Amino acid sequence: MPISSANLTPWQSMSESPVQHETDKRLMELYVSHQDLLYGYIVSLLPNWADAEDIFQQTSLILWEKRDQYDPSRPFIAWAYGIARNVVLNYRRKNPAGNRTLSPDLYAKVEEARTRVGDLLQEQSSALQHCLGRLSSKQRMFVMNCYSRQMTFADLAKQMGLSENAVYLRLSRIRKVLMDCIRRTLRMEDGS
Amino acid sequence: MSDTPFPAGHSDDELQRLIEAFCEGNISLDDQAQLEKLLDTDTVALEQFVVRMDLDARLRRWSLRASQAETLAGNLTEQTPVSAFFVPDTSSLDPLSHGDQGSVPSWASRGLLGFGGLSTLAWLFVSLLLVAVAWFSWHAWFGGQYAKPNRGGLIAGTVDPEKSRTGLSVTSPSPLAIGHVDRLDSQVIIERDGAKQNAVVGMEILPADSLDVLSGGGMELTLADRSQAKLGPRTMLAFTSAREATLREGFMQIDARSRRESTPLAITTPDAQAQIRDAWLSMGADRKRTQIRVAEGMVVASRRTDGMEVEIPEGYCSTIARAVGPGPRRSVNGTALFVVSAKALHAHEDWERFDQILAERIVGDRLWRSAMPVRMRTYDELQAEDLKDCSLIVLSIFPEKAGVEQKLIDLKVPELTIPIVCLEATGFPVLGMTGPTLGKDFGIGRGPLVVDITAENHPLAAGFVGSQLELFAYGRAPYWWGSPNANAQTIVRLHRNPERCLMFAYDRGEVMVGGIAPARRVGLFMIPRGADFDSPGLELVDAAIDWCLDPNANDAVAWSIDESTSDVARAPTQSQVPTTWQAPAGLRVGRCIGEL
Repeated sequence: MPISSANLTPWQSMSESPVQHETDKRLMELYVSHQDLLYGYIVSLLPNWADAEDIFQQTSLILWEKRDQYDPSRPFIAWAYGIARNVVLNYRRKNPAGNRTLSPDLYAKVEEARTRVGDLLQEQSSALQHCLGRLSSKQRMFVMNCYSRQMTFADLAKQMGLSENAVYLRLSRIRKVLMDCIRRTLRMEDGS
Repeated sequence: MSDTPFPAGHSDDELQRLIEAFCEGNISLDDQAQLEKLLDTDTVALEQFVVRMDLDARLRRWSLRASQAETLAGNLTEQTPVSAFFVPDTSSLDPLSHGDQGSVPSWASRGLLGFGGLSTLAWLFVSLLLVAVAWFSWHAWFGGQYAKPNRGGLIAGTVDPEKSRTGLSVTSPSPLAIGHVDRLDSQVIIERDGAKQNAVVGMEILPADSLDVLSGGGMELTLADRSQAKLGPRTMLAFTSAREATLREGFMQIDARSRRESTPLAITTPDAQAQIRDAWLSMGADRKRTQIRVAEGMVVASRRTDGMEVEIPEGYCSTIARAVGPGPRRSVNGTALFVVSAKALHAHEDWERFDQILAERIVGDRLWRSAMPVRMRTYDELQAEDLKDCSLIVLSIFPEKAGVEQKLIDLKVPELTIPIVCLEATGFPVLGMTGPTLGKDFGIGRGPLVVDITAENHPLAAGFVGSQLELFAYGRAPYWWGSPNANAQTIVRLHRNPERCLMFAYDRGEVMVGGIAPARRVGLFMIPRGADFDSPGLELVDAAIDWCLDPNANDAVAWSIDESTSDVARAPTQSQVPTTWQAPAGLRVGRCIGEL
């Protein structure tokens, strides 16, 4: 069972105890506030869920290990992206026949694009919380089951008593509803 | 991004289709090439891709958190009437809902389960009536056979208030039930009909239930035919029916001696399927292998990849994996005592310490998955009682405090006739495995760590050959070494300084530096690389466990190395051919230096 990024990272697990060093504390705060962005970056390079979790874990550990090397004058997320990029490249080298990843030629472009739309990504996150709240509890439960699954799509469909295609279509529909809601919410916030 | 917050321009279905396929992991090579070309040349497409993937990532993380919140919300059902437990209103579990009801489940505020017209008292009466009817029906149908008091003093379908962690009420026995929960250590999640809930003592297990024992937890079950099952930490078990279950990973011990000849229990793991009846056994499984140890009776198992069958009799074990012959070999059963430095991680631990503690967790995990029940104690907790009745002791890294060495001596650990695997260099002189001088007989170095496998065909080498890089640690991480005497079997040596061994062993009766080995002794440096549960060096841990549990340990293994190239050669003692092990079918070669 891979360690879930949502329930344990070495940073999160340690943040429960008193932190000795102010620098560590500051860095930990930066990590906590950026971990969703970092995870989003990893997922865009490597969409396989289990792999993305593992890479996220490894990246978190390396960030902690190399915390002394962090230059506070530079943006934390850029530093974290750089380390995640190396971990993914290492993964590709070790698993040439593994799950599909984005071409390394695009990594830098993805980082640039994420920096460009960084504000939007943060706003999208807040809007997503709002829009999830607007789904019916049945829809929310469905999304939760689909996204927190530790099994294949086929197994999930079987467990739900639906065809794989039906689960896929239903999820796509809910995702579209969410996207539309996020767009509307962000427009409203923009006042447009 | 002018008038809309989203990157504009690409609303074409083709881009969306490509992104969806990439997201779902089922994109074809051609489609991926097309997607990458688009992302490379079209900034708007790239931004749409980034936004879409970020949404996916955030949904994943929200779902994982929400499912955990849902699990925690199981505690809200304390004071909940019986039937509500099985019909949870999901809105009350939603971590995002901020309704007026606060933490009170919505069904509670509108009466029970939506029956707003009924007063609470009336509904309680109806519930009790239903429970009573079901209870009597059960007795009428099944003669109460399954509902008799069991080992834990429980009656199925009721809750022992002293044992229940949540005080949750449980329904009357269901005719569908295939077992019930006897005992719980820590949190166990049961997934039923797509919903997750906390297990409680007395709770029934239904067909299609999935049990997820979290890290550090454990669980005991009684099945309908009175077979007993124990699950270890980090175990996932899914029941299909009373006769079929899937052990996805983790540890399971089953006492199925009461199981009738005609109804075997089929346990499927990623690599094996075992038919169990009239037997008492342990199983450990992960993605790479399944280990089965039979304490009583006989188990027939088959390898799922090719259907090869193996009969595992009492006192034997079998490893079922792709590259290993599943032939049964004799093995000691019993419990492994794992002595660790700490059970919790703390923020003030430095990185190296953190890595060590993580390593302890991973080694503990390997013990469970070797189908060994594990008794875990810290050095502080360790008492003479803990040393009794165990088949193997694993001494992990010592805590950073004085007195551990003396405690081990006071407890007479060095004299125990129980095999010991020692992962701590400071422990080597305590056990008599090396001399006492730091820096000469044992010590600590720093990577990068290139090692040589000096006994390639020895069972402790786990099939590794030649020179290996990053088998144990990575980067500049520290490592431990020891210099045993010439009677030791040296398995892994430091490439630059062959006097220093990272894995060595003494067979029972061998003369060690500090006396005669009362049982097998293995010295092993083991810090997995980061949080890597698949670190190749862990296979050496598995090999050490297997070697120590070999009941033929009295027979000196006729292993020797070329005397002309080493000063630690020893003459074969009894026979020229080891009789208690077989070389793996295919030797594995890690990352060789020549390839770098």
